[in-house]
Amino acid sequence: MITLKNLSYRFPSWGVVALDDVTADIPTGIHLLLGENGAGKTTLLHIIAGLRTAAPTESCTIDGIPTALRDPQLLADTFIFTDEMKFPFPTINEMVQRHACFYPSFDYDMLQANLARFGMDGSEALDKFSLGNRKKAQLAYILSLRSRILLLDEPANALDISAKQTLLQMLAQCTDEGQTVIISTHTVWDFQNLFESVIVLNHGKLVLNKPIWEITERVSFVSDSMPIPNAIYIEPLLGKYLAITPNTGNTTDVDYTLLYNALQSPSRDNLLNILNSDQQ
Amino acid sequence: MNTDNTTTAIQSVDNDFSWQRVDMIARYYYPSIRRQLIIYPAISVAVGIATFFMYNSPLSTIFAGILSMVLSFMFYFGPIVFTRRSDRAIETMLPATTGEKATFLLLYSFIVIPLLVYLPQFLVQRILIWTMPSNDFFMTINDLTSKFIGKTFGLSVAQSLVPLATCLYVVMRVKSNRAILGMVWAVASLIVTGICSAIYGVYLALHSEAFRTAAFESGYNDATAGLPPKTAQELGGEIASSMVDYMMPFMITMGILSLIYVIVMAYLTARTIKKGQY
Repeated sequence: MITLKNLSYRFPSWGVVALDDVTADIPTGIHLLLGENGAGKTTLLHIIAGLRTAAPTESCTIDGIPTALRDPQLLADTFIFTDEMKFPFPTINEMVQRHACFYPSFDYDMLQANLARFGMDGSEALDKFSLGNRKKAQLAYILSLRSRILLLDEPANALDISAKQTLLQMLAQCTDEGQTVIISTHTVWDFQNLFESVIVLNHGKLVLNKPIWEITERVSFVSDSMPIPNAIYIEPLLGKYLAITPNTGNTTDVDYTLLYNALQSPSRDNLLNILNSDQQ
Repeated sequence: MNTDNTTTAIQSVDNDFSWQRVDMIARYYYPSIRRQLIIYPAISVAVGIATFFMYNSPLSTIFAGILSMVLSFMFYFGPIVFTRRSDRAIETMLPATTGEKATFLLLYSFIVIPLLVYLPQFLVQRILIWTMPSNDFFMTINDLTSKFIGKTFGLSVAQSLVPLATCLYVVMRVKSNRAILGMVWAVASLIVTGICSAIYGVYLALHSEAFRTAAFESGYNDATAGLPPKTAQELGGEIASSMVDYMMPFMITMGILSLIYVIVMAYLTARTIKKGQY
């Protein structure tokens, strides 16, 4: 369990507050992390990975251990993949030789299977790849580390359509119920139906941290050609109206984009009241 | 762990210091340091041979100085090898203790790099001295260096570690332009220690009668004793030796301060590994 308790972070060189009093429990499962640019998503992932230290240090713990301590046991269970990450070795095979040995849970067979999905075998020179192909190889490797806590920051950037689908399948197949995966992405539609909960940040503050089933139990995401009268939030789109309404018994899939837009709008408080209410 | 094609794979992870993990860290950095392990000794041997034979030539002073500078800067800038093909996030997340990471970095920087730079030169010159007659002036400089180190109880060596320690700390501390900034700050620290030495040298020249007249006194004492005048090389060696004695208090002080500085830099390097923000 990742526990965030009154977590705040200010960039020491700029003085900018990236995160402000964030409190949340993040259990096992695959979670979506949403927020506008500069909301603090990457900073939060860095803090969970131990790359940054929030104040106080106990404000971010994994199973009770502060991530700021950078204990090897915790580090072996955690991995963050950032958008601009550069592997220190020229091939995936060399990563296996010199880096994977630090991770007892590394699964070589899974790596081979993951690489094969992308038509690779690990001997290819990564710097000769396009950005998209390099990312495929990196993701294939990272998933095979089988870290208990896996943090992916914009993993689908630069991937083509089929690669995104393959990544989606890999995430579904390579992660088990003992793992916590947090995916920060602006292209939420690439990972539709994958998430078990959604975490939303806004200007460094936690706005929403809810399981998907709770959201769909309380609200519905609908579209119609006419404005919907009892909508909590409504927006026009290409001749239709997309709306979030109180759930009247008809469970729908979550429209993450609509949910995100609603949480940025003046309807936010109304929506949160409904989502956080004990009874519908 | 289900794996293939790995070496010394760790079966479990604990938080205690482990030399096995230090070895794994060394293997992690090996591709970065591989070239240095070959190129540095090769250059050191070449410089050792060139310096030995060059002392017989009229341009010995200039070329020997330049070659000596090459080795010195190889030594000072050695830690920039850790910036090669690196990703700070992956390094920070490497499942090893601060002690293990720092042990490798400090051992490599303060023991391996000096050995790579100076041991081959030392060995090849010892072989050359033993196998063929050498220039007296070359021997004089070697003896002077050894005397210097001996009289300062080795503290003079600490001063040469200052730029190296500075380079290592900067390389581990900054996030971008790590190699350039490592070199810049190493040179800056070198300039500071050089300025301190220059100031003391000027002070001695201005305020120490004995220092200023050391050369005159040597020749005057010989003449009054009826001894033949010394050769330029003998006189130069004698003057240099007496200058060592005059500089001794300053060199010991600088040595102690340099040692403290190096220890502080080593501590800060370890602290950066522990707490540095990505």
